[in-house]
Amino acid sequence: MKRWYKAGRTALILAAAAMLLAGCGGALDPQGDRAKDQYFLIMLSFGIMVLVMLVVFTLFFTAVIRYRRRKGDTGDPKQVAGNHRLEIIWTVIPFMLILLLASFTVVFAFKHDEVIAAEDAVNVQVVGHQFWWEFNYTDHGIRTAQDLVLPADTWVNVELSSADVIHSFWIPQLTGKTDTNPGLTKTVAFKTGDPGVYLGKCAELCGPGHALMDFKVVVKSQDEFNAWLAGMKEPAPAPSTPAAAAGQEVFGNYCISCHAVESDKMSLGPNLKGFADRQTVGGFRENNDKWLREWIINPQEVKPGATMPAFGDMLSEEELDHLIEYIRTLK
Amino acid sequence: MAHAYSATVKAGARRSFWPVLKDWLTTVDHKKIAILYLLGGTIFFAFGGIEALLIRYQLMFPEFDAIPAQLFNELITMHGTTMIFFVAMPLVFAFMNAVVPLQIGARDVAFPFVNALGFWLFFLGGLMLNLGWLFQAVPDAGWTAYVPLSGPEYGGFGINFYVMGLQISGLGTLIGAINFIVTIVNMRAPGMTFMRMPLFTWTSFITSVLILFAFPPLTIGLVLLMFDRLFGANFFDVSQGGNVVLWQHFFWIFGHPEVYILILPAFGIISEVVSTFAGKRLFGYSSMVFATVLIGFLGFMVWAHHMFTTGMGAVANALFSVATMLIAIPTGIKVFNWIFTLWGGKIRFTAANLFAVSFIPTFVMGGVDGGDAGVGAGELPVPRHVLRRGPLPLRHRRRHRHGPPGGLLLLVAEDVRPHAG
Repeated sequence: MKRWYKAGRTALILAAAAMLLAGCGGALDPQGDRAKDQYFLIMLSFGIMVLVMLVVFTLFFTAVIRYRRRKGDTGDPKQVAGNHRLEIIWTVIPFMLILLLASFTVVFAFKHDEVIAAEDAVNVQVVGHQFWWEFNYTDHGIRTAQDLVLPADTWVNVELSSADVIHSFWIPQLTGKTDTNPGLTKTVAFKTGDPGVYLGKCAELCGPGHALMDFKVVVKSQDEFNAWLAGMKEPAPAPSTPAAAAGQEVFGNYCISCHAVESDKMSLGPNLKGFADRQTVGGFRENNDKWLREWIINPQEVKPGATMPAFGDMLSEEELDHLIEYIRTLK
Repeated sequence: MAHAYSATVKAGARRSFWPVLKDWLTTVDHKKIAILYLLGGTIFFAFGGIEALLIRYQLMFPEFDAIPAQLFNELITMHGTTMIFFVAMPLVFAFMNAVVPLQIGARDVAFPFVNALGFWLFFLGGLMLNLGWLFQAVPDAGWTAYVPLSGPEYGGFGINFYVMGLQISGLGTLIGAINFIVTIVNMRAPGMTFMRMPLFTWTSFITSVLILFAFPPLTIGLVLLMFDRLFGANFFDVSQGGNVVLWQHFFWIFGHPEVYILILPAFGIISEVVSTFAGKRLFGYSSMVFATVLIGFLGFMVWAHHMFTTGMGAVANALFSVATMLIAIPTGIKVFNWIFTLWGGKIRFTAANLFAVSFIPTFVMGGVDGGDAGVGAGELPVPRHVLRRGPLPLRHRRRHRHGPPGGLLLLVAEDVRPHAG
């Protein structure tokens, strides 16, 4: 096969592969204004760097190929050791490229440090724990965990802090990382995009459960969000089946010391109001009975380092069934 | 010279094992110390390498449970700490010891005993760090050991081995650097002005100055951490008025110059190898010196680019971003000077030169993504390890795979072939 056939074919494959980048998601699929700004910065810096690389690589490969020592040539080359004009060029041009990149960077640094005072902005206090996320909607007196429910296309101010070690709050499609430090608070603003479920991650090593300390951002339409707020403020419905009632008793004996089921109550562990509607068990497993069961029996098996005690030995199968049925009523 | 055994040794007879061992254990000869550093670095490279392989094994498949979470955190901590402090640093010192006295025409370094002491402190520090494996108490808070994860409340016992090991070997590094500064300032052959020194000596000199100023913050940070953990101090205890970000400042004021400490000697090697095998003098000697000095100086101005996500505020983020970008200029000067050393030359692709020449595009690829990372001011969604964990594993490996092997091969090659020009 002719060499240029092979080269052309490789180039085509690479070009096609580059299209797949669009499927990368995360920070490369930004939603909401903040993330889109940051995506722009990524692309700008990437573009500048590709340009730099093209120039340097061209010079490099030309030098390395053209000036190979030819066979039998034992003499010394001309000893050129300086060229003022070149040295000025390759100082000034990089400086100008940096000026370009730096100006956007500085502008965005200041823009992204602003807290949004808009009236319809949602204010959420975020507290990182080992290894779960607490969300308190201070304006509404609602406490919840693991699922950050937000209205679409709205500015959100998150006030970040930690209850134990340093964690980092990161929603790749919506906002860059910001550390949650114990003893310090930092407020960061971002705008949500279209309705949907977005992935959130902890981005600072915080112990064995760090890699699994995910959370979800559930963006709903404004009406659905208001309905959710209203639902969270309502007291938990009384259990309707005898099994669920029995489960409530089990809950009262074992769980209530750490988990509240009313959204205005503080608790050591995640607030469980609305748990039945949440995306996950333990922050990253599908919210179904199988995983809920495994979690209650032995949380550390599901998420290493979890601070919830294991209840497998303390609960009989029947008690566990009832408990799960009760938990399924926590809407 | 009289030795205890010389009376019984015939001319040409080989020495037995114990005298040889004693010689190596007590040597103050810079060439032997260089070999000791090389061997020590290689031994720890095996440790760090196995740790890397285990990490990669666990990461091969989703939901793989080959390595439990706690052990995984221990592996990533030990791999990073070992590779930076007990592989790359000793390799740097190996080359400095082997080459600098020869390049300046000195018989040995200024303080040979201190030189040996520096090696043994490094070696014992590395053993101390790895003692944790024996006691099932391995450091697990990452190579950056952020508090409070590494503190008394949340940190396991293994962190103590981290603190002690780094403190001991850090002391060795510091005295080694002072040694080289004095050697280079005081012991150059007559007629060798500063601007006539070979580039590797220059970069070793600037590296030593960086060590002199960068290691004390690490020492201080480790002392504060040690006192918090062992003696009930409150430097990082928030409930007593401490601040957790303080550790990060101390660590990264050390941590950023540290990566320049690791790379500048390699830059020196590249300058030597490339010019030798292109048959040309190094292009732009004075700019190379100036650029290296500028890189060293600016290297102390950028540490908080490892802390963009800590919430320092827009002013700090903007300043550190811009300073980070500025380092690209002297670094670019160096790259262009290397390319134009090759330009117009008669390049021989010896093994040494293959390493050195291929370093250039590899390093450029690694370096430009530093430019991307410097744009962290918007608390960019760039992977954490790029900004925070210091040298990118990839970028750093690229630099160190190519620089030192090229240098080693050059040392050999220089002996066996006639000098060009």
